Amino acid sequence: MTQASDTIRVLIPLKVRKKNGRPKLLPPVDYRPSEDRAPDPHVLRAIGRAWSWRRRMEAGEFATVHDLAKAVGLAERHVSRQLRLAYLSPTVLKRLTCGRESPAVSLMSLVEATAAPWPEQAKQVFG
Amino acid sequence: MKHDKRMMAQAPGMNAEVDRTVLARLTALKAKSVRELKADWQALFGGGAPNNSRAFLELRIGHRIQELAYGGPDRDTRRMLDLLADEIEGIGRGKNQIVDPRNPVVGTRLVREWNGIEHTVTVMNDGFEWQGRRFRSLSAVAREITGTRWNGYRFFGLREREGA
Repeated sequence: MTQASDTIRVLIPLKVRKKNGRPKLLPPVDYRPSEDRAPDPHVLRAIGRAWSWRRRMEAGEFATVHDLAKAVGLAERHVSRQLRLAYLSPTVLKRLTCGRESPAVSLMSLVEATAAPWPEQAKQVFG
Repeated sequence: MKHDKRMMAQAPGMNAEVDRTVLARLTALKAKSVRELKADWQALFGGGAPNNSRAFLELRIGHRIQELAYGGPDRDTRRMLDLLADEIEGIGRGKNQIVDPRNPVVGTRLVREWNGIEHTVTVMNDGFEWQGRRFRSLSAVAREITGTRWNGYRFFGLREREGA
């Protein structure tokens, strides 16, 4: 009976998810990244670029996505997909950019999450 | 305070009535024709729709409906998004928000011998520490050590030489 207490069982609630084609270890949902937070440079870069495009479109620099794609020299299909990142819900944007939380999904699925109503987006993005 | 009112806008889930209305309007978009969506666009944005893509119109109109009901990103978020966008556009304004992928993990110590003295630099969250002082870039540290301008990544051996 005493033997059972000799064993310590440590449970680390990590999840393995495919992220950008590679498996990635994810911390539990309620984990708050602090000083050692590791912002994902390529997610931030993509969101920054989308926001820059959105700003330029809203400033009236381009009338259509087609014009924007031509100006930045990228395929229209790619531009219109990536541009959607600027239209994520404010909560998700805040957690990604200010909280520097890593999304649990790939950039592609992040783009697709924009189609969901706002209350559902955080669940889709952060798992 | 202009923005206070916007920030007071109710978040999703705080008012069931608002949530229901918004959800109904979002669902209604799916049943509309592109022509009707363009009419919605005209009403919401006051201008012609930028293209005829159903996906694009649905997304943007849906976003606008929710923005009007719940409010847009708060001031901090907008500021951070603007900083990120500026950085991408190449408008330098103080420290970089996006971490340079060449930087090693935070806390790494870089050791470099220079004129017989070993110098240790610690990688920080937003810069580098050398002899108790904070630097924004490795090049600044290298300049402090050597007195001449160096590419910091090269000085600390983080960039392999061409052809090596």
